[in-house]
Amino acid sequence: MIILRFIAKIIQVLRAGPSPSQIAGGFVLGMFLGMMPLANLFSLVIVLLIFVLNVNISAAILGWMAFTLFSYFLDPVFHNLGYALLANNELLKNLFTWFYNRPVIPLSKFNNTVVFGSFIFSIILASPVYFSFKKAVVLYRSTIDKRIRNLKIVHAVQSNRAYLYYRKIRNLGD
Amino acid sequence: MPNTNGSEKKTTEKQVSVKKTSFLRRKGLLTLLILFISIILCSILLSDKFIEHRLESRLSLGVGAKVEIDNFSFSLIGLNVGWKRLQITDPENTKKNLIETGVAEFDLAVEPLFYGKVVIDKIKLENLQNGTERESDGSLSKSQKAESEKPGILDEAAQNISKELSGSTGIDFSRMDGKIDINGVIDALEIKTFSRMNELKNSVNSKAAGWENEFKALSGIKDKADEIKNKAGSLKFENLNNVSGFIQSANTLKAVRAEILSLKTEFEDKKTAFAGDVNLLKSGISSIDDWIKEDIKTAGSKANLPDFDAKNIAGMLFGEKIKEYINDGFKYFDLARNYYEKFSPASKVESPERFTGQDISFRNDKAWPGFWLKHISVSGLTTSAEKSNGIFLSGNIFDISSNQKKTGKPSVINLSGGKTNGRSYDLKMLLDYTADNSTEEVSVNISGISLNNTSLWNNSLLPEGISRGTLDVLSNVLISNGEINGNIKFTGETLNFIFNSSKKLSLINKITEEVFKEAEKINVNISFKGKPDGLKLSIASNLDNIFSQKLKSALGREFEKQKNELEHKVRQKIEPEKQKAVSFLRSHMNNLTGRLSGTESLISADLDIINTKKLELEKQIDNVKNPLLKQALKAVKKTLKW
Repeated sequence: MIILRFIAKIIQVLRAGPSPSQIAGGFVLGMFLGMMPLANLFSLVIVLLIFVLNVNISAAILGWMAFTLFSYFLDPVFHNLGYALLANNELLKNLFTWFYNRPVIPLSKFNNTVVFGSFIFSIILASPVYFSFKKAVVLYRSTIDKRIRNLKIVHAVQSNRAYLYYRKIRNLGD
Repeated sequence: MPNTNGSEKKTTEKQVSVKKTSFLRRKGLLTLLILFISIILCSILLSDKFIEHRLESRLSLGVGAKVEIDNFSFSLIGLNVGWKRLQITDPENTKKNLIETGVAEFDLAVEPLFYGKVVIDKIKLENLQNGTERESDGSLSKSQKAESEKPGILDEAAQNISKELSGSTGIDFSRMDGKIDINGVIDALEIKTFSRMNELKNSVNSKAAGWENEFKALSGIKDKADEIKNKAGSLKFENLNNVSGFIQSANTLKAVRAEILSLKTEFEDKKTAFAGDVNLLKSGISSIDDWIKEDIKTAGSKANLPDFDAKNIAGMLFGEKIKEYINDGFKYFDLARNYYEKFSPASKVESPERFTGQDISFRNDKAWPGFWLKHISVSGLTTSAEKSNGIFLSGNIFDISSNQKKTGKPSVINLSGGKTNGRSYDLKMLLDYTADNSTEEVSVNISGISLNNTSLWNNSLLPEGISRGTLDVLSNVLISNGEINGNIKFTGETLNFIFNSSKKLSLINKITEEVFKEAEKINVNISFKGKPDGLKLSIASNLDNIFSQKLKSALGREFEKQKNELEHKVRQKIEPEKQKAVSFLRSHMNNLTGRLSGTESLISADLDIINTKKLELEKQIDNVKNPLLKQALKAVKKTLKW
């Protein structure tokens, strides 16, 4: 039931309501959460940003769920990328040492290979994902949504008595 | 809203977007504030249980067995931490605790926390105990267990010591009452003296062939010496009355002397040439005795004559107990070392667990390691814990840290204590990983270990057990650069051994019973040095000497007699051939030395004759009355000075 309500919420968001920027922004922040391990300061900051910034939370959750799956398979890539940047990079060593000796920053666990590798990966993907998703939302609203509404199966479900009864009672408690 | 007039326009973002919204979400900010306040409240009210649970699961994984904390308290305001009881299960024996403490309290340093480091200045611990019984089994489920520890450096050392303690005593007790088959040994013995004597004889024979020519030369010298003797003997000076006569006689005497001296030189050369051969013959004669002794020794070893020099008697008696203490001691030492090894910086981990990654360290100017416990003050036994059967310890522990290279301080443990039954412990440990070459040192002294009703090694010759007695252990182990240097001394006092009185006692049983009844104090000293795989061990005990002396005095005479008989029979077999060989060598030696001395004495005699004739001539010169003649003959006399 919760999953169905969530999917319905997503469709509602895509159709109308928040702007594509808000949806795409939420999705990108969700992507950050999904890619990185949760137990560190980075993740906490991302969660705060989701709450504080005017981005769509449902899109953030969608982004988090979608990219968690990716991150499981990309974990070795994150580890190698993180190791290459943290341990094998003399140019950035002084910068990282400076960070390491500041208060609070070590709590972000930026010196962990997977945390840092996934963060950098997410930064790289942030722009393309944002603009792509934004464009996808616009496309959905302008063309795809109309086509879906005109599908025969949708008409069939919407004219079904059970569905009509459901629509009557679903907002009773509001 | 979508365009409904039918014309195909490219829908833009602006057409599908709705009303403008602010950048920040006010509801979100409010929600966060409420959440923040809730977290603070929860952390004040509920954090204790949460942290207690987290600590227990983390520490359990690290130790490999259950860690339980009772009444954990954490205050966010002053960062005070404390508990009423801590139990760390012994991974080797999950029914007992490795460490159990009473009340503890300490403060966390604030500043390091902002850097993700945990630094504690001082912990006060009460009732630190070791080996207490647990109420439930402390083993973890299979999924929770950490990976098994690799064998420690001291495991190999402990195995070597165990092997040595189980080693032979050097005494074959089964032979103590037996006899030696002397004739069988003699018959089977390959006597090397015979072949050696034959070799020597052959060598002498081949040299003898060359001697004949030399003997001919010696004969020539002898003949010349005789000739010179006659010549010198024929010189007469009584009728000399003129200078020319005297001069002629003096010249003749000098010429004869020169001849005999030349002959002497020739003879000395021959003598030197023969000297080597004479030495060969002499050494050959003395070597025969050495060869015979060697054959007697071989016969002795074939007869398997028992050796009365006992070693490792104490190892045989107390070996199992000693092994137990050594293994336990080394096990705890290795435990401490293994935890430190976990924190040493590692190279790249190729495949870490999912979402775990690897932490890369950078230079930390604050010099805080991830975890640093500067001082633990341990108080001793309190009345509430009197009934426990564990070991109570008190003292101080300094600088337990996850990275000593950052703190620059080694970990030091100084604890002492005991059990309620009177046993006392003293533990000093130093773990120094501040430099690349680590140094670890541990000193453990235990006194008053009761040996009452202890069973011993199952050996029919030795005591069955100890009814009464105490054991003290003094040990010191140093590991530096992978090399171990240690010493463990066990001293058993006021010992009373139990013997099986129903057994019929053989001679050896009686001896061992005497030995143990007389030994009130037994000490075993184990020293070891070197790398674990090539450890050099030395085990000494006063029991070995006592045992050897008793054995020798009781059984030594009997076996000494058999040993002498064996030697006599070997000599009997060799003696006839020895006499032949010696006689052969002596005859050649006598021949050589006889000829040499005969010729040498002839030459000496000739020289004596010449000296006598010289004196005669000088006397004759002195007897001349004519002063003018006498004056002239002074010069002649001068030429006779040699």
